[in-house]
Amino acid sequence: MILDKFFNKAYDHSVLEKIKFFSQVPLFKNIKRKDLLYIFENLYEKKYLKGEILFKEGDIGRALFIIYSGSVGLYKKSGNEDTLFSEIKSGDFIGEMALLEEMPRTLSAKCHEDCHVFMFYKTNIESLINSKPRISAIINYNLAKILSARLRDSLKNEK
Amino acid sequence: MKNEFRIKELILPFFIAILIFILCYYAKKTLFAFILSIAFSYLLNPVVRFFEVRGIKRAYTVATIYATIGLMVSFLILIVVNLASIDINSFVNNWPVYYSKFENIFTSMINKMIAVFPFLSEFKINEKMLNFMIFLPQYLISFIPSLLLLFIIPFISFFILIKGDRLLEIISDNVPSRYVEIIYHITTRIDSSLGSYLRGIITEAFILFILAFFGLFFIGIDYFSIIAAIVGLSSIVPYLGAFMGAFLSSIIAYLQYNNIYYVVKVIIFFVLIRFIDDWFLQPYIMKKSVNLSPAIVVISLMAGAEISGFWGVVFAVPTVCIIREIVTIAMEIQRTEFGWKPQPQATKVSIPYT
Repeated sequence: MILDKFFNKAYDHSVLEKIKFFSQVPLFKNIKRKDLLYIFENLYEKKYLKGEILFKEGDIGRALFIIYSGSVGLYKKSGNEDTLFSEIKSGDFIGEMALLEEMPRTLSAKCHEDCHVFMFYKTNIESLINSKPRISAIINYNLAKILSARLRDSLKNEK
Repeated sequence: MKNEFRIKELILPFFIAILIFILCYYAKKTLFAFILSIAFSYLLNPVVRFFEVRGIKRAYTVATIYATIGLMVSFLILIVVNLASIDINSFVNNWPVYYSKFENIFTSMINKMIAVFPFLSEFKINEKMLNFMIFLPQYLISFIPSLLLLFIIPFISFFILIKGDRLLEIISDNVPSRYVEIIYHITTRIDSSLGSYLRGIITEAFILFILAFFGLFFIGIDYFSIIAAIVGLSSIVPYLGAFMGAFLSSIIAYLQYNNIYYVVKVIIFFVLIRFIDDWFLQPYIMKKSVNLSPAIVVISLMAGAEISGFWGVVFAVPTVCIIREIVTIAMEIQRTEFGWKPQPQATKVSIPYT
C-alpha cells in the first residue's frame, strides 16, 4: 500500500501518453519503445499560446515541430497578406526539411489555439547518426517516405 | 505603432542587468561557487533526464541520485582511507629518512652547480628550498577553506537539478515566440559539443586512474594509490595527468630504491600510458567530442591560469568549447539571418522527379 502510494506520487503518468503519442507519429514509425525513450530524451518541449508564431516564411529552419496538442496554421505570403495554406492538428509535424538542410522556411506557422509542441533539431539527428545509427536509419527512411508522399501530393496539386 | 521600437520598455531590464552585474562583481566568490554548482548539475543532468523521460519525477530522481552518490562516496572514502592510511602511515614513518635523503641530494646538486656557476650562490636556492619544505604543511592547510565548496556545491546543485531547464524556459517564455527555435538551437549545439567533451574527459580520467593504480602497484612504487588519484584528477586538465604521474612516481621511485632502473621503468610506464591515451582512449572515447587542436588547448590553459589560477585551468577547455560554438553560430547567423552573405544554396537536383 505504502509502496503503491509512493510509486503513484513519484511516477509521472503523462509520460506514458507521450510515448504512446510518439509511437503513432509517422516519423517515428517502427522504432522500438526503448529507442523512442532515447529520442524523447533529446527533444525540446514547449507550450505556445494562441496567436504565437512558431516561425516565419524566410526564417532559417533548424527544427522539426511535432504538434502534441492544439492546431497550427500554415500561411503563405501573397503581397502584403498571409493566406492560410493548411491547418496542422495534433499528431502531425511541420518543418521536416529543416532536418536535412538549413534553408529558409517556405511557409509561416502560427498557433490557432494554445499548442504543446516538441522540437526535434537537425543537431539531434546528426548526433543520432554517430551514436545510434540504427535509429537514425529508420528516421531517415521514414522521412524519405514522407517527403516522397508530400512531393507527389504537391505535384498532383500543381497539375 | 504595433511594431514600433519603444525605448521605455528597455529601461527596467537595463537597470536590472546593471544591478545583477554590480552584485556579481561584489560577490565574486559566491558567483564562483554558483558557476561550479551549475557545472556539477550539468554533469548530473543527463542521468536525471534519463529517468525523467521514463516517468520518474525530477525531485525523486535527484534525491535518489544524491543518496546513492552519498553511499558510494562514503564507501570509496572507506576504501581509499584504508589503502591510503597504509601509505600515509609508511609515509609518516619514512618521511625523516626521505627528507634527509632529499636534502642530501638537493644540497650536493646545488653545490655542484655553484661550483660551475658561482653567481648562483647569491640566489641562496638551498635556503629557499629548505624554507619551502618547512612551510609546506602550512601551504597545504591553506587549501582547507576551499574544502567548504565540497559541501556548498552539491547543496546548490540539488536545487538547480530539481528545477531542471527552468532558466531556459524563463528565457524562451520572455522572447518573441519566433526566436524560441534559435534559442533552443544554440542550447542544443553548445550542449552537444560541451556535454560530449565533459563526459569523454571524465571517462578518460577514470580509465587513467585505474591504469596508473594497477601499473604502479605491479612496479612496486610506494603510495601508488595516492599517485594514481593525482593522475586521475589531473587528467581533467589535458596532458597533465601522465606528466604529473611520471614526475611524482620517478621521485618516489628514486628515493625508495635509490636505483635509476626503477625511475626508467616508471617513465616508460607513463610514456606507455600517454600512448594508450593518444591511440586508444582519445579516438574511441573522445571521437564524438570537440576536435580542438593541441595548440589551442595549451593557449587556453595558459590564459585560464592567468585569469583565475587553478580553477581557470580546469574551466579553460570547456569555456573554449562554449566560445567556439557561439562564434560558429554567430557566423552562421550572420550569413543566413542577417543576409550579410549570400543565402545558402539548396542541394542542386538535376534529375526530374520520377
